[in-house]
Amino acid sequence: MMNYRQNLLQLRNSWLVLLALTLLTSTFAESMAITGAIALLVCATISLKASQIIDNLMGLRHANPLIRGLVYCYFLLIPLMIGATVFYTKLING
Amino acid sequence: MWILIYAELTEFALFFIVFLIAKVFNPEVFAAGPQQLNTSAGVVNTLVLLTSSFFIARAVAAMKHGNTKKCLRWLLLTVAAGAVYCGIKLWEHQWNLDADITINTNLFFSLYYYLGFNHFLHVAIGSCAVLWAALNTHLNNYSKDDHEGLESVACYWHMIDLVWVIIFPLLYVLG
Repeated sequence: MMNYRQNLLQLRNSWLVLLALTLLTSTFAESMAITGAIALLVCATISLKASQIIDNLMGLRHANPLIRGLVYCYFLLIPLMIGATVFYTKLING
Repeated sequence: MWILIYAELTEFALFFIVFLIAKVFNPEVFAAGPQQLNTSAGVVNTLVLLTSSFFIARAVAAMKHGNTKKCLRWLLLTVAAGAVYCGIKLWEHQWNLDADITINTNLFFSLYYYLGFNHFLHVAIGSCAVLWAALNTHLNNYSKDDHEGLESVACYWHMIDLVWVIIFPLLYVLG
């Protein structure tokens, strides 16, 4: 079990990671053409950000595996669907 | 609470699926859409919502430590962040109107407005729920060992943030 100080440190670190990942994604939006590789990176960022929120901010790391697993599946499946759609539309448009 | 959260996530998942199907059939409209949006507003709102999630996590941590005053302060900061999000969304809506972007512009913007407005409503409702938790904290209805209501509200707020983690790249980055 973490003590109070360790818990606060973990919350702060997760928050900073989330802000950094958001700024990274916004850099793609502002300065780069969305290629398949960039889309893949953006989708991976969604899953990474979600895992930070689920495990650290929501505190589900040691929660019931079913509750945590269902939320995790959601944030793996939806980014996968988004990535697949981006690849498919790029494929049919050459 | 978890049934409500899963129901909300399912509702948003249906929106995402509709968006992706529409994107497959209208690739050009959806590729051009994000370039016409105010990306800065989307980025700032993402930072605000992530920060609000940090605030409410701090509120729960403070309550678990038995510090009611600190908990109340973090809850009020969460409500303030929710209000900032709503303010930016309203400004963005006005910015879109000035750029002649409405719900009828094309299919991308119709879905952008449906998704955006639905999420906006959730933030507004979530802010009211956090305010309710703040009132209960002020009235000492929660304690170090008994604060299930506060944790439920916090989970709901995190869910709102989690959904935005998908909406932001979907609408503003990838289109």
